[in-house]
Amino acid sequence: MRLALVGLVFMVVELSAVVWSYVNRPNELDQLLISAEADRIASDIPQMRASSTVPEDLRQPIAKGTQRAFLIHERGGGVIGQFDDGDIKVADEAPASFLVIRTQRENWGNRFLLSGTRRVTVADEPFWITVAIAGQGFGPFVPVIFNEIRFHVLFPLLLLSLLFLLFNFSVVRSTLRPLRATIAAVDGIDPAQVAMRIETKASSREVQALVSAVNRMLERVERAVRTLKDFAGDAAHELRTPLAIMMLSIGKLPEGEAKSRLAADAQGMKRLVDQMLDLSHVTALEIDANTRADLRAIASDVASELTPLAVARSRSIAFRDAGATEVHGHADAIGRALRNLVENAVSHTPPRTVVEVVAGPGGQCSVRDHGPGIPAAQRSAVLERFHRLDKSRTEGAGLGLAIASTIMTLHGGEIRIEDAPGGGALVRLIFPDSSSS
Amino acid sequence: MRVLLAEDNPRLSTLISEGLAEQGFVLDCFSTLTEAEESIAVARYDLLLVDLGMPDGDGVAFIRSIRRAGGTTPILVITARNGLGDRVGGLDSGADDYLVKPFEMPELAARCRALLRRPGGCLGTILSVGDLAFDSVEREVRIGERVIRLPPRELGLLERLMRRAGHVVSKASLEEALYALSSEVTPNAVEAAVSRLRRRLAAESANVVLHTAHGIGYMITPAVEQDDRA
Repeated sequence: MRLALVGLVFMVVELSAVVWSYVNRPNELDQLLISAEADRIASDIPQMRASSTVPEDLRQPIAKGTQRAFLIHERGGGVIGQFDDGDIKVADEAPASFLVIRTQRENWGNRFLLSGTRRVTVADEPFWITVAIAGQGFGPFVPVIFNEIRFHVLFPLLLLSLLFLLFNFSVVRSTLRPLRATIAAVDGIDPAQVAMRIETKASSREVQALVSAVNRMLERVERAVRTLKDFAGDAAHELRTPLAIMMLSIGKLPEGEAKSRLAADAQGMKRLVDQMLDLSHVTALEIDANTRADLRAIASDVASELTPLAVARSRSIAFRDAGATEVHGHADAIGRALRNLVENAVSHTPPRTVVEVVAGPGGQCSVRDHGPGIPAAQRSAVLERFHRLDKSRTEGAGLGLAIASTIMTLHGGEIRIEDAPGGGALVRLIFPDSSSS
Repeated sequence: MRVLLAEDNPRLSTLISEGLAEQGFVLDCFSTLTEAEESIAVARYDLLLVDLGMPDGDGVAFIRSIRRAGGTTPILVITARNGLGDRVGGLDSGADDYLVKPFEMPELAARCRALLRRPGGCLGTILSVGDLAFDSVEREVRIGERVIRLPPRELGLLERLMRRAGHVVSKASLEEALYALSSEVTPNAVEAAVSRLRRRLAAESANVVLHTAHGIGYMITPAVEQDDRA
């Protein structure tokens, strides 16, 4: 589009230059005017020979505001057609038979008289057309210039511009093609995979510079992510060892209410540390593009692992496979997401009720409890960090659903919270359709 | 039972050795892997407790080198890491079990005993849950001092369940136990055998509970007062 506009501007400039050069060469214009008039007359010669009259359209001169007369001779000097308006006349004198072209100008002030002869060939016979044109100023030449421009400048210029436009278009396109591939590669970078780099086959130096700049940036991002991951590991060690010391020390205290309260507090802290570290781990998690995770196996393992916890608290966990499929994902991380949902469900479902863990159908898992459920207005808020529905509850830091949510986002999936038919919360982990990825 | 503990935190090391000493274990504590390695070369241990985050090297590499040298002593890893994939890494190196910090003494003692009871381990072959005891060599079940007789199928099931007491044993694993006894196993053979076992244990008023984990399997635990916290 821009190229076409620029082409148009160039054309206007070119035309102005052509007009300018004509204006500065009046002799050439004289010749052109006579030739144009002669060509017009010549085209009517067969008609004039047949009817011996001058056709109506030839009575008017080609240029407005001029007077014109003409005379047509055939071979041997015979006049086959003539026209004059009385003011100017062409002398009836046969031109020499060798004459092909003659133009002559006379000026009086700004008036001019042009006369000239052209030899034309019509139906294989030569004719000599002598034309006289009287007029003033530059006006009479304007149509001639137009004509000239139309046939000899505009058409070739248009053709040339069009060809150039096509050429430019293809050149620009082929130059930018490697860039397009690079853009696609950058777009394709999975944020969960910081080790990824882009490659280019482009020979263009600019594209290669861009690609290596992007790769340098990816390297810095990777370093930052790794630092974060290392920090998570260090923090784990730093926090867990003192907590272990604390728990073992509490264990040595004499039995009593104070001891069991302390032990419960220490368990709460352990859970908080576990969840915070889980969150930092999953935030820095990278998912290998080809890893597949078996939802059925993951869900059944989680249900199995948490059953002792549930049983110790007079609840139970039931597992059912409703036709789960494999999904693209990190099995351990998906397990953590599901584990958090089940832990939540176990702590919200009333004693002697069942938490139902279902794998499938397809790329999803669901956990259902028989507790109070989660009000619709709170559903997006509970997925945020440190959000607890019931602030009076002391256990848990409100990180469970945030962890699950982070893991699901990482997998391109989502968490959906619903009311279970018959009461309770139904929380579903939904993975993107793996057949399309 | 002689146990080696490689743990760099002196306070944690003291607490663990005191706690396990109360349970009848004898502990040698080392704060570096080098010292631990030197001691393993000269003394015979029944169990190694190894913290993965030691100051002078990676615990995983340490365990791997012990296994490569042909050491078969059971190894329990104590780790502060439980990042995604860390568990697998620890066990791949040749450790037999892992325990993530923080933990309470009963849990650590139970894990240690479980490892020592494995074939080749130094503890006897008596599995116990609540007042129920199972001698896996004599294939004898006792409730308190009383010996009870169980048919082979129920005995097979009970052994599998008691080996993983407090954990869910999958239905597939129980089915396997039945297959080992007879080639003809009907689809609901496990359910039937479990319900017979449950009735029998109830009739003998054993102090254990056989829980059903629907869709997964079964779990045996000591019968304790249940926690009815909301």
